[in-house]
Amino acid sequence: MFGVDPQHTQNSALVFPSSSFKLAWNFHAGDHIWSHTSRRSVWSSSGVAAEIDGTMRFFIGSYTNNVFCLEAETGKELWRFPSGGPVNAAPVFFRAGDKAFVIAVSSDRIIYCLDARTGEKVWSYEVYPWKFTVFEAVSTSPIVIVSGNTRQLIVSLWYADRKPLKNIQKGEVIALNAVDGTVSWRKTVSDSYIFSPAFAEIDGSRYLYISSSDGVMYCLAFLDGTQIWKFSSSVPLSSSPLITKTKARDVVIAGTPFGILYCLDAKNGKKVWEYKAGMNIVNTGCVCPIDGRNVLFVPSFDRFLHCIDVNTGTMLWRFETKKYIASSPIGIKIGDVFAVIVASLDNNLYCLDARSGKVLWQFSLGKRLWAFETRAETLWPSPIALSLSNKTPFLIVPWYDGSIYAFTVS
Amino acid sequence: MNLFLLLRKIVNTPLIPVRGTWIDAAIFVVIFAILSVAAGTCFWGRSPRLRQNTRFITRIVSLCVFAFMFFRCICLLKTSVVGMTQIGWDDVAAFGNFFLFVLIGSFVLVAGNIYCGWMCPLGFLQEISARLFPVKTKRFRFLLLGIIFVFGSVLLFLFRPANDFFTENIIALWSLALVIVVTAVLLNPAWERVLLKTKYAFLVLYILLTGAGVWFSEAWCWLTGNDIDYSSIVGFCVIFLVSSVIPLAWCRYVCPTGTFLFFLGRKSIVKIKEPGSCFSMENTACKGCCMGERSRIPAFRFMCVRCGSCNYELNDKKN
Repeated sequence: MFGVDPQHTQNSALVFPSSSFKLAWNFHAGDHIWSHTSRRSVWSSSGVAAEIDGTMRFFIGSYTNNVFCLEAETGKELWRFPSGGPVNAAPVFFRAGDKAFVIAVSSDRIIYCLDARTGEKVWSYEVYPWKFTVFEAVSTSPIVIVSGNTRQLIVSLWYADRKPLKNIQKGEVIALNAVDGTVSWRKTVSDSYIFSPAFAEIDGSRYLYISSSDGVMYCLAFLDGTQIWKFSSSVPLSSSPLITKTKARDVVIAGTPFGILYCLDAKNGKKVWEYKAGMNIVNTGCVCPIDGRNVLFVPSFDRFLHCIDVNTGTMLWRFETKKYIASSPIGIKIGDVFAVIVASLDNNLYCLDARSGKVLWQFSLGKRLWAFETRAETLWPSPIALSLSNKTPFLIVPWYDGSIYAFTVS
Repeated sequence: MNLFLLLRKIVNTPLIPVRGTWIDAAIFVVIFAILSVAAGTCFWGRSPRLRQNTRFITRIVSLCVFAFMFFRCICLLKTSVVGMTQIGWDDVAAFGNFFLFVLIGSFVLVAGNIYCGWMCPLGFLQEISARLFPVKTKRFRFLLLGIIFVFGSVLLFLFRPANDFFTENIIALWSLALVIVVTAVLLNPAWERVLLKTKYAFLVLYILLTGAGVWFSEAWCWLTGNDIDYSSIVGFCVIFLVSSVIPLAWCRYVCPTGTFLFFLGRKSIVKIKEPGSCFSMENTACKGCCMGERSRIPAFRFMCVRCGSCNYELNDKKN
């Protein structure tokens, strides 16, 4: 799922034997280039990988309205499922018995559950019906939580209906049974965009965390969506929440368009610390345990990847690229050393030593499809790491030149 | 980065949240209060000294409000264009972005361009530069402009390569363009009549860029703690230094927001009397004009920022 886990830590902890990455394959969605609009991404915010029948598969959404299934080792397209709108949100994979499913939320306001083997639709749920006045929804990456014998799917979706007399703008959190699509509960949390939900279990209680562009972080009860607490900031929030631990407590972290990173106590919403980067933070980054403490790697539009001590909120180091960093980094291991993979809009992919920020490897990716992009309104995908059944690690980077790059280690 | 921690904001949660969101009605209240003081002083301030003292205090307060109190984008034009596109899409954000412009625009329609004269932090800092570090000798003016241009260009081209050089460095490039304009004015003051019109081109370009979704920082972004952007810092430094050559040069020749507000202010209820009392080089009362002693040109008439430093009269019926 997006963020590797329901806490969005983006730490795969996958071990690569060295940092000598080589390009394994390159997949292109097609020659047609769709026009740029606000909040459109070439690929979904991330992809998800799973092994099915001995083959590792990679699932990702696209601005071509399709959900793609690729063979992770070769990049060969196995199937594609057409939805009614761009699939900007990363799909989520889960198993129920011997069946495997992929759930994707499309901007056509429909949640699709697909058979991961064949790509056929198992069920779908229309959050809001189509009308002439309805626009593309802002969908976010769902999560699936195992709760007893059920698999609970949590989806955050924002949609708008520009009816002249009864304009609707709703950010809803919806809980469904992932296997059959039965709705457990629906809750409207905001009128503004909401971001991908995060889940945490603290002291035996289960919580959902939703950040919204109206500047509020919501903590909801997992069972029924009841609001537990909310934190109001003086600026909008612009990233999904990330949940991690300090030495004293569980914390939830979110970024803002003014470069402020808030760290809140996950139990009561009180501010623990805040950090100021130079410009927008649209992705909360990744967390890795290094030297006995959690360290947060945060990308910012000020061109830096900031390395922050989660306990204190102080910067440990920062790495400068030549342009905005809009996608989340991912944590991996190279041998025994923690490393961070980050893609910058200077068209480069960097592998950095997580302790020092030193560049271990760098690769030039392609130029973006469009002549320009709307700063902080265009979503950029994050890399993912996966391991084939023969333990060969792969790094897959969906990129805004229309290609998906896959790297392995020589 | 520690330098910018000094700009840590005092208000971290909204004091008067609008529908529980980040939008803080308190800043609208504060701006309303500041502009009310400004308008009231313009109307009823009895002497230039009183107006000037009140103006100075008001500008300090305004600077503190934007620099230390609230996180708020004060790019009126940009946020209003963005706000208009958000209507029916994200009404809360549309309100937050658009209302600031409505509030300030309303005051400008009534009292003329008091925003530029009494609130704008960039204008305030330019005035400080003009008053504290005036460069009067022509030779030194050219020398300073040359140094500013070379230094600014070197900073931009050498230390900050960018994939999208022009869109990322708009404000810094515009500030270097200002240096060129000011140099031309100094070379031949007769050209100023034409060069005053460059701000209209900048206004059109500004609106087009904003409407196209090109997001760029402004010279005050680093000051208000929003985008601590290299282009913003370079732009501000250039504008600040150029103001010591020609006071408020940015306001005269480039500032798109000020240009738009000047247009609004032309139809203001409160008008300044025709040249003869205010806009005369021979009138000693105009010596303190914050826009400088360049008032022979009729085009300057509507550039008055209501600084109150002269013995102006209001609502001359000849207008």
